[in-house]
Amino acid sequence: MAWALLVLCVALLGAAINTGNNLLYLLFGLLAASLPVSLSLSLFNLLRLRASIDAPGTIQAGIPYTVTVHLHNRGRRAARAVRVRLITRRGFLGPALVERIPGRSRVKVILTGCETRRGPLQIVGVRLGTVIPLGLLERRRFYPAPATPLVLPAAPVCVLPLSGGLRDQGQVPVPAGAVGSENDGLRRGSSEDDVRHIDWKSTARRGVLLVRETAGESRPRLTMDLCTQRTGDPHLARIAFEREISYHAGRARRTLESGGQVLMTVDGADRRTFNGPAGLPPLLRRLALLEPTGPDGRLLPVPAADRVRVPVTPSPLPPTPPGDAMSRSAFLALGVAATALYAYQGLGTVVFLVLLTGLLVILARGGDRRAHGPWGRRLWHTAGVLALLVFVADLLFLRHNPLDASLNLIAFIALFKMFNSHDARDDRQIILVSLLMIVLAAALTTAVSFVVPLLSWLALAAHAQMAWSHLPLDRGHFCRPARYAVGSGRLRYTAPTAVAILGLVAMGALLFVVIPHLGTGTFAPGVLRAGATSGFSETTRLGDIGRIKLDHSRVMQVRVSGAAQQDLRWRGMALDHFDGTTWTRTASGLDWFSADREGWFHPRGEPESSPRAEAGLIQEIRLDPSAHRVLFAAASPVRLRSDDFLFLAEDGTGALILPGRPGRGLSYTVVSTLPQRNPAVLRAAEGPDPPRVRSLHLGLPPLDRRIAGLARRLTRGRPTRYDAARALESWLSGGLEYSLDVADGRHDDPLAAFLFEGMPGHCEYFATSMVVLARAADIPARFVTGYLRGERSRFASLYTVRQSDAHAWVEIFFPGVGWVPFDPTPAAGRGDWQDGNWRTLAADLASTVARLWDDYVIGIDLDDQAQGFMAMRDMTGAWLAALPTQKGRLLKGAMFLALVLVAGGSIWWLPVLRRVGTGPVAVMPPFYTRLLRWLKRRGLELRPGETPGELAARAAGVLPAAAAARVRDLTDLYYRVRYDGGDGRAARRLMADLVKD
Amino acid sequence: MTRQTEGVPEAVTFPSGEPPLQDLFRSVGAVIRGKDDVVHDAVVTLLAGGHLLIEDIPGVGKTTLARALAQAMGGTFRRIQFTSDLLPADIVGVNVFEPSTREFLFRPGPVFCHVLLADEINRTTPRTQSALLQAMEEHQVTLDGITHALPDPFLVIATQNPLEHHGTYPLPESQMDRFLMRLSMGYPDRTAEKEMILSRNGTDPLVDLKPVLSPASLASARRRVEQVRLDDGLLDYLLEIVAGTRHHPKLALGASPRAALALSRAARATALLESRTFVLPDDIKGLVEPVLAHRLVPHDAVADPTARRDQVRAILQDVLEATSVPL
Repeated sequence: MAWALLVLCVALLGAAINTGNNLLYLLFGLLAASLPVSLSLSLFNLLRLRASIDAPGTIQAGIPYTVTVHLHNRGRRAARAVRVRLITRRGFLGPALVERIPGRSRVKVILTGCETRRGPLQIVGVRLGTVIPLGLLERRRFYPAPATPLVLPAAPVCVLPLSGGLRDQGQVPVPAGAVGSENDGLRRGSSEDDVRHIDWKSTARRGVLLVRETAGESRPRLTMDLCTQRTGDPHLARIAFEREISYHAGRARRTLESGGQVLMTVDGADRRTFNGPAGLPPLLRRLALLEPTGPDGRLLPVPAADRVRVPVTPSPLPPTPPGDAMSRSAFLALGVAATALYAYQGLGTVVFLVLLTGLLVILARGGDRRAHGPWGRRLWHTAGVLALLVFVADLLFLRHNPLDASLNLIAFIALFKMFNSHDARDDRQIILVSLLMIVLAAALTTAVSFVVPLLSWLALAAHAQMAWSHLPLDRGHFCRPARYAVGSGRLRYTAPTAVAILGLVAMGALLFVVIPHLGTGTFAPGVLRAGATSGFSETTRLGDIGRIKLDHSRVMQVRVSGAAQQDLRWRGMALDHFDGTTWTRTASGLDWFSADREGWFHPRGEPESSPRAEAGLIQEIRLDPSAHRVLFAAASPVRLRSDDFLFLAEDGTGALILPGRPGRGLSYTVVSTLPQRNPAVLRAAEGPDPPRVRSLHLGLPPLDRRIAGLARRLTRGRPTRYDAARALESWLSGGLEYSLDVADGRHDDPLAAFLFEGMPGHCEYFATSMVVLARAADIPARFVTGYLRGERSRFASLYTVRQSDAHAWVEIFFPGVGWVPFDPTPAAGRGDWQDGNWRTLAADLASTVARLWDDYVIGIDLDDQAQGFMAMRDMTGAWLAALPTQKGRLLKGAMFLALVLVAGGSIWWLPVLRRVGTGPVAVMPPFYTRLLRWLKRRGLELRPGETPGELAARAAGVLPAAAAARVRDLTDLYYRVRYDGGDGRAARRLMADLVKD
Repeated sequence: MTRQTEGVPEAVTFPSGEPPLQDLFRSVGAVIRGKDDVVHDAVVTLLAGGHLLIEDIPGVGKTTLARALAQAMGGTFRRIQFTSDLLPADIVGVNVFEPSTREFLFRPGPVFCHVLLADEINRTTPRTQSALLQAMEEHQVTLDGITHALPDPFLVIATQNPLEHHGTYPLPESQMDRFLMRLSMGYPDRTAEKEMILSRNGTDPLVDLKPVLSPASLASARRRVEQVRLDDGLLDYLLEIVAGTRHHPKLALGASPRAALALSRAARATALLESRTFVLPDDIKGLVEPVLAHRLVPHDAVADPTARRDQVRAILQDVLEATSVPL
């Protein structure tokens, strides 16, 4: 699993760099974080534990031994899922799993049945491992066994000739005719016998362990722990079970018959003590009770009447076995991943529904894994082959789309795994499949909603892994699965899972920020948002906007900072020519320009405008894909920068035009100056209008006659142009009816109908009317389109602009000042976003979060990272510089000291230096391996039972003298390195010299 | 050359002031010509604190070897010629009544010495043979309930003639087990024999033999044997060999735990004698026959001792080949 994850991490990083998809970076961060988080939590789990061991020193072949390991939890919190392995010279025995060690307590772990079939095994210590929390890495600590004398003890009591045939403690092989007191009371010994009872003389004579007990010595006592085990194959389970039962029954009977006592524990509970032969029937009944298949007369002579089902007390071990918790979480994780994939259009509806149904069926069955019959298996395998064929056909002939084809294949694999899972390994594979699905979903979307399936998946997967770490594994090489003796209370995985997830998210976020985002940014925000719609166009027909106002799709999001923010609106373009129904632009020439060295575009603006101040309103605009080429900005833009385009044009009316229609979203930062609104300044603006302004902005189409009269009437007696414009504006906004539902199709001249016949109108009518009236009064005016301020977030200075915010207004020219906006539309038409019901609040929150997500997750790139780091550096630098000198020096010194301490501490804890977790296993030094290979090529090979020295002597007879001498030297060296316990560094140096020759 | 020796000590150094054990080997070897391996094994037995059984025909130098060993190590030497009428008291000693003090006084027997040569040990009765048992195993003798300690070091060199059956009492297995090694001298080769005849000139070859050790320095050498490193893998190897004899189908009696103990001590002593601080597999392998052979009883044991020895040797070779050397 750990390796699969590592490979996946690398693949994800590759994919992220290749596509620039920041979600992949995020996933990579989370997955990569799981390694250190897992490691540190495991370390935390282990550091509190101390272990000591009561071991026999050497395990002789053929005898099941019992080893006791004492675990001491010195911390306050409980330690969990500790695997205990006995380390021997040739490998390990175990593991036994201890599920929970309460804080500040000692726990005795009894490893039963430690045995080997070949040669003696020397125990060198005990190794604790823990895989909390994600099952990714096992952290290990090694505790050496007490220094048992490896020489034979002075009195020959320890090394017993115990091997072979001890299971059948039957008749003592007394030689024929040898009867007498010498053989009285002799019986074959077993591992339970006290060494003091061994009859050495007879043992030495016969070559088998013989013991003799005299009356009055301690009676034999047998402790039996019987556990019912969950095993995949019921047939194998039954066989193993029968074997165990017959073995235990035999031992128990012999113990009882020899006057001993049997203590029996069933499934960790239900302790019963049986004494004497009278205890035999109930004991055998209990054993028979566990027998799954029925009577076996030879092994268990239990009368039929005794075969009653005695209820076994429920065990104190977890009522929800970790395996069930694990598979449930794994299945749910798969469900979440599949749903995410479906939601982002990765999976077809049918496939998704099939997956969902399968999941529901499995979950309804309570995660019950039923073994398929032969037909079921055949069916599944056929389905697997079919799915592969469909995949190939899909790829080659049907859709030619590798993504879709592989998605369906993955869905099938998920389904297959769901219905064919038997053990924890399958569950872990299900988690891997679901991870693959999540990764694919991440590739298909950039939406903030992805966070929900991502976090749910993470929680479920972590929970499953946590449960997995509590599953006893059966991986011992030399011994039968050791049983664990500890388990107190119900195991809960929620709290550690929560801790793990918190760590993961924190660490993952850190990694996400820190690892360089090298991608090309193909997956910038909004790329995958389909259907670029826009209510904005470069010409405006009266009445168009009525439809647009009903469209609530988003146009852009603007983050504003800088100057005051009242009366904000996003100006698109100004139109100067009106033909009675349609506004168009007269000038068609565009003035192209590019950015300066620092990436800023500097629009020149309109020549008639006054020189502008630098300071202004800073807007960070994120424009959704649109069908037009115009960029929006508040009032008149002074500076603009973006990474999304290289050239920009202005059309002479203050509008900024892109080279082409952007197929994807754009983001840019623009600094605007706000228009002059001071009445005193505007009233004082006197002088002749420039000829270009007059020629373009006074023209009128043939209109209703009443309009000229109305204009005259409204502007009469106004001393200045400003007053006249204000009069027009207030007359329009105060006296006419606003409505989006305009029945303008029934009128030949909708403008006249709006002005004189009481037809309601919307912003276009109001703005057109004001321009027309102003021009009729000889005031240069133009029609401006764009968007209202939009919905202001309650959580950030962030405006969400929608199609429904489309608006039209008016600009009036003031000599020496420039164009100044006026808006004749009544307030009802400008939208009111202040109503605060929970729905708008939620929508507001969602859009804010989405914007933050886009800004800080999806949109982050190498530049942003570099800027962030530099800003941080500047900040800390400034902070340090701001400190008083003495204090600063003190602080710097303290920081340096802390750094040194942390570095020293981590070196101290480094496993390499402390040799934590390395079992001392003798390994042949490489130089001797090479020598052996070299000799082998010359026909000299180690014969069975031959020592290196003998090989060297044999080589001396075959090889030339010089070579033989070198072989002799190297053998001596090897002897020194191997058997003297010295390090092989000098030998390696010498070897290098010798081999070179 | 300097590079070759860098970091790899050529020889193991011992505390100064103690004569190297090789001197012992050399001075005994000067007396017993052409039998270096036997002398070597005898010195190993001495170092390992065991007892030696030399089994061979008369006249090959069994007694000379024993005497040379005793003389070279500088201890007291006693010799008992075992005969069928020898009594335990002749070995251990007796309590005699001292009229002047009116109490029993212990008169130590010949066993109170450093090196005891038990010549022709199979000629005496089992009763007398077993009188040696406690002395050999516990290095003490008990007489009338009083325990008397024997001098340290105490080494029994027993000889027996395997070919003569009449009037002999073969040592039981339990007593054979007490001997660390059984060696046989064999005939010297032609040159060695010629040299022997020429050099003797009718004088005692042991006249020139000067003691090279003292009992005290031998005791300290024995303590150093304990410090020789026996690798765990080699210990496993040793135990595998011992276990191999126990499981071998042709053997009725396998090697005892005492045999394993003896083998490990002998291996260490060999290493020490060869100036090593660690045991090699070759040490163990070379000692398997002298240490184990006399303790094993084949199922279909032949009567002829030489043939039986070959039989056991073949079985041991078999065991050694079946046991892989820890690499």
